[in-house]
Amino acid sequence: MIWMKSSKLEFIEKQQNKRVICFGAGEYGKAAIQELGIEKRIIAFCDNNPRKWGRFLIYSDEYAYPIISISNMQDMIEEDVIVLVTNAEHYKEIMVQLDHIGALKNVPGFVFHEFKFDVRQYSREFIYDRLAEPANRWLSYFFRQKGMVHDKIRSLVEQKNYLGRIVGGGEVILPRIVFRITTCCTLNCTDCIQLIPQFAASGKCEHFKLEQILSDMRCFLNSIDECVCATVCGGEPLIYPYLDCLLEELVSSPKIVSVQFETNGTVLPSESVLKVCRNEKVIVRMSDYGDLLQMSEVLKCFEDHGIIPDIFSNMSWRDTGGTECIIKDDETVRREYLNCDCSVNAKGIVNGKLFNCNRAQMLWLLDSESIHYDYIELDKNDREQNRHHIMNMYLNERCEACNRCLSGSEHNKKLIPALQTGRKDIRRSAYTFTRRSM
Amino acid sequence: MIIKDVTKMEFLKNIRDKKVVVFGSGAVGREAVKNLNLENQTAFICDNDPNKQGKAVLLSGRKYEIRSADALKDLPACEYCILIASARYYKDILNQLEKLDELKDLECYVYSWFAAAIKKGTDDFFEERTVTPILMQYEKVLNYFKIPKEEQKEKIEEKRRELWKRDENGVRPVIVPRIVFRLTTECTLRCQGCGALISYFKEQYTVPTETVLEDIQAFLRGIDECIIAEITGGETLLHQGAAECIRLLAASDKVDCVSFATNGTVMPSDEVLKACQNKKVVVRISDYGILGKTGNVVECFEKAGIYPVVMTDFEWLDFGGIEERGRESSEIRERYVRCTYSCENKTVSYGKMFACGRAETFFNRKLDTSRCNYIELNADYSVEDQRALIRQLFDADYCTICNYCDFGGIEIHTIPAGVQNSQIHQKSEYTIISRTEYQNLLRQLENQSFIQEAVL
Repeated sequence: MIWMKSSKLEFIEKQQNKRVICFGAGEYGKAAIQELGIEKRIIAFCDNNPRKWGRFLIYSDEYAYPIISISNMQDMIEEDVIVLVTNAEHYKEIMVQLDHIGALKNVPGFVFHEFKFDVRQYSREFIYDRLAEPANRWLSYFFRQKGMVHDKIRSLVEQKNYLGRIVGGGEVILPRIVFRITTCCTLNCTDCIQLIPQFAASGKCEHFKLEQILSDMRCFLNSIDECVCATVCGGEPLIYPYLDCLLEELVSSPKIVSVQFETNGTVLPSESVLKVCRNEKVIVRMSDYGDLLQMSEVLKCFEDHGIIPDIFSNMSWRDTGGTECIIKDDETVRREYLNCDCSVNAKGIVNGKLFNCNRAQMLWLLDSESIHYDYIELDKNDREQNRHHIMNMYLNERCEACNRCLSGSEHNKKLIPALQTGRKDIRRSAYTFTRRSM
Repeated sequence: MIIKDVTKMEFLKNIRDKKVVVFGSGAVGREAVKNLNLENQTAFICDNDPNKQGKAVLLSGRKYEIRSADALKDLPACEYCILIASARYYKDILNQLEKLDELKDLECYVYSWFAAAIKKGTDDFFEERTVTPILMQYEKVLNYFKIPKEEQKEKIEEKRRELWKRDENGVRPVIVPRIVFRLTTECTLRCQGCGALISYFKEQYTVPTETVLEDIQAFLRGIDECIIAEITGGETLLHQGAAECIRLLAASDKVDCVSFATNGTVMPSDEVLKACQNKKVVVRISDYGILGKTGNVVECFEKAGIYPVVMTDFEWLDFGGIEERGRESSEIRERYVRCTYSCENKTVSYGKMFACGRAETFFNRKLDTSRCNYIELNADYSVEDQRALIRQLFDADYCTICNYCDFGGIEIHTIPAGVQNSQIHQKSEYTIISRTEYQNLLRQLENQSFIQEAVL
C-alpha cells in the first residue's frame, strides 16, 4: 500500500475521480461516507468479520454496499481504485494487514481516523472539526431527546449554519461548557474521571458558592454568542442545595440551546429541581450503575413529573491513568489532545477560570501549583478580550494536563464503571432500564 | 393457469426441476424463499407495486429482480411455476393471473394454502402438527437453559429422530409440545383483548388447588414427555396453590421445563420463590410499564437467585370478539389445522383437557360446551385409555371454537399488549431489560445496517 497523508478537505478535493473500497463496515464507516460525500463512488466494504461477508451495508434508501473479505478485495483493484480505512480502533492492525498483501503494493491508501491530525490549526476545516461539528452533534442530540425525526433534525441543524457564522460572522459559538458546582458525591468511584476520591481523601470536597457560580455564568454568557449545551457537573449535582437556581439561570438565557446535568441515580430530586427540569431546554442524564430499586424510584419520580431522563446502561469507563506527571513529546501531546473527547466537550468553569479540559480543572482544584497555563481568568478581562481568549482556548492544539492524563491516548483500557473505594460496592442487578421505543 | 392446492412437501416434490417465480416481495415472500430453501430456484420476484418494480430484493447475499406481472407472459410452462406469497393480496393476485390467457399452462401455488392442505393421519400432518411445534418449544427451552447454539442443533436432531421412532408395536411415544394448567381468572389487571376473557365478565373462577394437582397427576400418567408445562391465570401468583403446582410439575421426569408468566404487579410469596429455585422453572415477567411495582418484583426474584425473562412491548395476537362467525365446517377445519395455538396451547381445568385456551374459557364461561373440544382427564381411567385420549386430542383436526375466533386465519392481526380498560396505571416510558439482552439490543441497533434482506 502507498499510505497517503491528507485532511478531509484535501481528500474530497483531490480524490474525486477515484472509486473507493472502504475497510471497516460499521457505523464509523457510514459516518465517513457521510462526511466525505463519497456514497456514489464506493464499490464495496471490506471487513475482517466473516459473519458480515455476503451481507450488505445499508447506507441509505438508495445505497447498499456488498461486504467482502480481504481476498475478494484483491480482485477488485483497478487503476482508479483507492482504499479508505474506516475503523477507529484497529486501523493500525488493518494497515499492517494490508501492507502484507503483494497485490495491493501500488494502491493508494487513506486512513479516515488520521485525517483530523493533518488539519492546519485555525483553518476553516479545523474550526469545523473542533467547533461547528461538535456543536451540530450536541444540537442533534438535543433534538433527538426531544423526539424529533431524523430529517427534521438535519434541516434544523443546517438552518443554524454554525460554521458559516463562526468563520464568516466572527461569532463565538461553542459546542459545550461545563460549570463545576460541587465536588461532593454520594459515590466514591475508584476510576472517577472527576477524581472525586482524591478530593475525598484530601478533605477537599466542597459545594462551590452560589454567588460565584452565578457570576461566572453571567460573565461567560456575556462573552459569547451561543452555546449549544451548558452542563452543570459535580460530584453529584442533585445534592447541591441550589441546583434549581443554577438551572433557572441557564435556562433563561437565550444564548443557551440546551441545559444538561448528569446524575448517578442515587438521589431523589427535589420539587424545585423537578420544576425547572420540566423546561424543554433541560435534559436529565442518568447513569445506571446497577441498583435497580433505587433507580426505579428516582426514574418514577422524574417520570411522574413528565421528565424522561436519558439512561446510560452497561457503559464502560475509559482509563485516564494516574495524575502523576509524565512528560510526553510535543507531537504526542498534540495527537492525544486532538483525539481526546474532553478537549472538545469538557471545557469547564470554576472560580472565575475557564479551563482547557476537565482534567486540568480538577488538577488545579486539588493543587493550584500543578497547572500553570491551562486556564484563562474570565473575571479579569473585558468582553472583547474574553471572546478572543475563549476562541483561542477552544481552538487549542495541546494542553498541559495531557502530561497527567491518558484520556486521549489510543491505548487506554476499558474499565468497569463505578467500583467503590473504601466502601461497600454498589448492588449490581442483572437488569437495567431502557426506553420502550428502543 | 393451473391452480394447485397442495402441501409443502408435495410442492417441493412437484417443482424439483423447475424455476420458481415468487409473487410478492414483502415479508411473506421473503419468508417463503427462506423457509422452502428456494434461493437457487427463484428466478425473479413479481410485485404489483410499481414503486418496487425495477428494484431488487436482497436476500442471503443475493439479489433478485422485482418485475411486474407482465414478465410472466413469456415463461415456458414446462420450466417455470408461480408461487403466490402474500397474505393480504393472494386472492386478488389469483384473480389477476387467471385472466391472463398466456399463463394457462403455468402451474401456480399459493404459499398460504400449504398448511391447510395437509390431511389428518398423514406424515405431513404429523410433521406439521406434532414434530414442528415440539421442536419449536424444545428450542425455546434450550435457549432458556442457555445451551450453546451448536449443541442445540445436535439435540434438536436427536429429538426429531426420537419423535418419528416407533416401538416394536408400531406406536410412537406420546410427547406433547406444551400444556397449560389454568389456575384462576382472578387478575390485578383488566386488559383489552385478554385471552382468558377476563375483561368480558364480572365473575371470575378459581380452580381449587387439589383439583389442579389431581389434573396434573392424571395428565402426567397419560404422556411420555412434555416439553413445556405452564401454569397460567388470570394472574398466576394470586392463586394460593401456585407454588405447589410448580413443585409437582418440576418434580416429574416427564416435564422438561416448567414456566409461568406474571404481570409484574404481585409480589411472589416465599413459597413460590423457593419453588422457582428449581433449575427447570422459568419465570417470565410481562412489563406493562408499571415501573415501581415491576421493578420490585424483578428485584425480589433476583434476590432469591432467580433471573426472570422480562418481556417488553410484545404484541398480542387478536382473537377478535366472542360472537359466532358463521363459518362452514371445511373452513373451521382449515383454520384449526393452520392455527399454532391449537398445537401448543392445550389447556387443562376441572379434569378436562381442551383443544386450546379459548376452548377452555368458552367452556367454563358456558359459551360453547361442544363435546369435541375436550377430553376427560381421570385417574380412574387405565393408563392406556388416558394415553389414547390425549393422543386423540393432539391429533384432532377440528374444534368448534374456530367459529368464535380470528386465530388461524392466513392474515394475522395483532393488538398492543396490556392496554387497560381503566386508567389505574400510567404506562411508563421505561422498561426493565436484562443487561445481556441490553447489550444484544445495542449490538442489534448497531448492526441494523447489515441486513440480509431488504428491498432496494
